[in-house]
Amino acid sequence: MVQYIGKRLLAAIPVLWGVATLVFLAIRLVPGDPAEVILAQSGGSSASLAQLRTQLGLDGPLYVQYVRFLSDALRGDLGRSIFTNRPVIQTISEQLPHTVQLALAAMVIAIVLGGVLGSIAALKSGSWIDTLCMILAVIGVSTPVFWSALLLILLFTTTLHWLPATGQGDLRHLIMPALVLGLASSGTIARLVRSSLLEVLNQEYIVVARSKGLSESRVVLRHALRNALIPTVTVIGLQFGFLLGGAVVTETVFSRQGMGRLIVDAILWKDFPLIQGIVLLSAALYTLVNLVVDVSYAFLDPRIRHE
Amino acid sequence: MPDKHRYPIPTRKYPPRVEIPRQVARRDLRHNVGAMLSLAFLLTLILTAILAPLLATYDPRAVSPENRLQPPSQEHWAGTDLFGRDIFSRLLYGTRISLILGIVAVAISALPGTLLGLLAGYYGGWVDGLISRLMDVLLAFPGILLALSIVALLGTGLSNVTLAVGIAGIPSYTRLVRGSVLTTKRELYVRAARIIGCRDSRIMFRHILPNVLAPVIVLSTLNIAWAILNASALNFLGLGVELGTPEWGAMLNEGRGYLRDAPWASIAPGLMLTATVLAINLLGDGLRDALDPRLRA
Repeated sequence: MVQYIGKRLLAAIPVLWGVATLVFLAIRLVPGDPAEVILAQSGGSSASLAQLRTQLGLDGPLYVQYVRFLSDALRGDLGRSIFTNRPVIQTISEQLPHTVQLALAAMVIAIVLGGVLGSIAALKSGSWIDTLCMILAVIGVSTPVFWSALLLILLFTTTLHWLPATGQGDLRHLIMPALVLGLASSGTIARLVRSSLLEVLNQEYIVVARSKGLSESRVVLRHALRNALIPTVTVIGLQFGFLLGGAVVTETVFSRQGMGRLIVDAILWKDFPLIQGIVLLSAALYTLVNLVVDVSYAFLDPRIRHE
Repeated sequence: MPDKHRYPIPTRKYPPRVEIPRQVARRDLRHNVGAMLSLAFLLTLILTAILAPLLATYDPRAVSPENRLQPPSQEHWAGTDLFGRDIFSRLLYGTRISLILGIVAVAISALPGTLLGLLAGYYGGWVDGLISRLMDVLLAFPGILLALSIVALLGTGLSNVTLAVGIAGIPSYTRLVRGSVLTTKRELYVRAARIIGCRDSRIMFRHILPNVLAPVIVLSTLNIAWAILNASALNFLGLGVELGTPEWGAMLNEGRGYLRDAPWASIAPGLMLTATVLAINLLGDGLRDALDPRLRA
């Protein structure tokens, strides 16, 4: 197991290095000097151009910039925001917990809802209940997050006055954003749980369990579902990426703080150091989550680590 | 001595009917009610997009302050927005933008993505290593973050959003095609083509590509839905089309400002967007089941 974790960790390093290199090159190879773009927007003098270039790390030969960029990033120094002049890493570390909280709450909703919907569909396979569950799942996948967010606000805030539409703080502020993101993600999980459970229900050990005279609920809960849920773990990593992306829209609609809203603001302000930092850290976080998912999958299913 | 007639003698008069895979796929698709209904809806939508100038009851950009925030009525079937513009006419024109955007974005993903997958799968070695690592790096960007990063670099606007969503879709094609090529290149007909002296490019494009196209068609259909959703999200965030453009995501963004007073301004574009994406997804699922059952989730 330790060897497997080591192998996966080593495989993640070149990916992270590649992400850092791509982010570095992208800003420098795209037509137009970012420093000039920022100055044109803020109406600064040409005298401050050189100063801005230094702040953005755009001065000196390309290889010097690259080495400086990598060594700074490794030390956790992602530069300073152009507009707030605060360290990028500090701004991100303030916003990240809000997004992680939202993503985790949404993930719980997605797993519970998707798991129940997928299991019911598999157990009633071929019936109208199966069709209904899968139609609901496709609707979940197809509904834009920003539209379901507006519909929930219309229902729970404007009509029923149950939940606040914006802001954050207590649990009541988290319900709608988490529900919106969770609903969108639950469709994918429901489809996967259904196909996975259908496959498991045809296995010989299920026939054995039934022939031993176990009750149907025990066969499903203890024998089938436990094994059927293992492949779902892999999709959780991918869904985490979807939730991070979905947070961009959700945080904007519900006026919540977080990484998603931060990057939209950074793009609108053309705050390149901040954009660079958010992209780098999000990719690193996503790679890390997928690494943890891979390792936990290998832990749950020993066949994987022996392959 | 064994009994000669222990096994029943075949009594079939005609040889069993061999069905061509394409016929089976077409029949499977035709029997899929959801996919057929979706196809009908999408064909109507395409027709609507083409005939938008004829079908629209008002100019989609014509501002009419005296008609602002009118609820749905006989004059304005889907009501009017804050500037008194007819929402129904704007929805019709929005169909054009969304469909073109989805198709162009998928073309931007599919062409280079398929080519890179072909090269990686066919040549293997360092070519495969280089392309696969590059795709690993692109896939490390979560969700729509890659598209967002590209918009951040290129600037806002509809064409940049389409390009960004297109580029973000490339890795899915490369991975899919690479996997299919790895299996297909071991087939006897590919080996035969190589033995009779076919060039690499001819083997790739004439012998391998047609045999890996089925999953590419399925992925492209599903990716149109994905592209429309992501691009409309970027438009919703104000990073895409110019202010006032009749695009569904942008219309939703405008509508949320007066959700309490005029919910129809947000409900109608969202409904169109969801129905379109749902229809494309159902058609994509139907195509997948008919053309490539291995891809079934």
